Amino acid sequence: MNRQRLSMLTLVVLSVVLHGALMPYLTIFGGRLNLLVAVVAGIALYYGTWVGMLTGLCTGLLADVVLGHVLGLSAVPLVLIGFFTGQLERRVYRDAFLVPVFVGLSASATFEIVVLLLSRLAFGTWWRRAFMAAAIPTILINGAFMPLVFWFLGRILPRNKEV
Amino acid sequence: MGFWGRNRQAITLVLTVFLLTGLLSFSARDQVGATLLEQGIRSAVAPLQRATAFVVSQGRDVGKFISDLVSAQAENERLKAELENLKFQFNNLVEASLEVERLQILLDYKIDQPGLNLVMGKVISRGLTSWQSEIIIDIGSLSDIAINDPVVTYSGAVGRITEVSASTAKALLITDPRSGLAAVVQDSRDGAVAEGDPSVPGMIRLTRLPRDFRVAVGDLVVTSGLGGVFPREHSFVIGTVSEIFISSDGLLKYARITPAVDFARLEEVLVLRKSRP
Repeated sequence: MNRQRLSMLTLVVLSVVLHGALMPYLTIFGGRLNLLVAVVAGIALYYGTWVGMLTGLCTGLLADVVLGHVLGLSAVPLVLIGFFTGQLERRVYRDAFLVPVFVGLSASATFEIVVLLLSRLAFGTWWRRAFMAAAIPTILINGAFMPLVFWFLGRILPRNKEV
Repeated sequence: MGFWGRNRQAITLVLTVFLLTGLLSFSARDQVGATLLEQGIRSAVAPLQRATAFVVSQGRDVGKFISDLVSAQAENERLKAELENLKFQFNNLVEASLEVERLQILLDYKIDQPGLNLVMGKVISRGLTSWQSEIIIDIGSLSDIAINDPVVTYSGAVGRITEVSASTAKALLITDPRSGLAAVVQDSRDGAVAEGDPSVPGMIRLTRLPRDFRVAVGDLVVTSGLGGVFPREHSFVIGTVSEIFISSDGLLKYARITPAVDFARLEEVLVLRKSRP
């Protein structure tokens, strides 16, 4: 395993662990930074669709195994986020400040909505009220923090796309 | 490039989502517990989770400690302010209570002296320097105060009015060396002039007394009324003889008097309006 893959794997594992252990204590107005979304979207914006989808799949499945109890609940939205964000990689100038903000907002909204729908599918229950209370702050927080996450990823991830 | 070549990313996405949704559906229905693979992954990640949880817990403890410290500091500040406020209110109440006591005593004194036309004034200022024994009171000509009106308290003589304005008056205290007050030793009835003792601020002395002047330590000295300031028909205590000195030539003697009035704590006085009703 080369250094690039190792650093990405470390990032994925760390994001899952921190998402479960640290983020619940850092809530702002009921919402919190979704590290899974931020990392997957950031990597996808950096390396494109394939890497984005793969990262989304690995991160999602790992999160489902470690943090959840239903496989696919996080993996589906994260794969979607990896795909669509990766599509932007060749189309936008990713270093523009507003690009990570837009990606953070849209990716987070995608994650929240897809998880809500899949929860309905998996458990037969609507978490509509909880969703309404937490989703908007979470989406806004992800939009606000995404430039920071993206800048951080740019510092630690190798520029070579041969991952 | 064929259909697959053009759309392989989208096709992969659709297939992946389809598979994952199936997995989700299966996983949600089949709640038989974690598979061996899941257990292995969880076991592998668990130490990292534990370490992170430990660090986060310590961080939260430190954060809570700091937060408690900050809130305790804020609480402390609030309580301090509240305490200061209560102290202020308490002091005001104590002051009011003491003032009521003093005024009651003055009122009683005034009632006990029906022949004297007394009016009460509050001391609002003192002399410019510590060696000037003067006070300013909050009543003046509007209260029929006039120059040379005697100023007293229930303890004894205080001084005389030297300047009057509409609403204030300045009084020269009997402890000022510039004052001269006709006095008499209460027991012997020997008369002399009492004035402020320049060598001991705050004290009074009887000066140039003849050798045969009958005075002893402990004698009470009162106003005689001969000077035209204090009334003749009513004596006010000046003080008590505390020391007696003989002049160097042995011809004269001096008596030092400790004032009956505590001038340092003078807050209210009575002015005797002599000739007016």
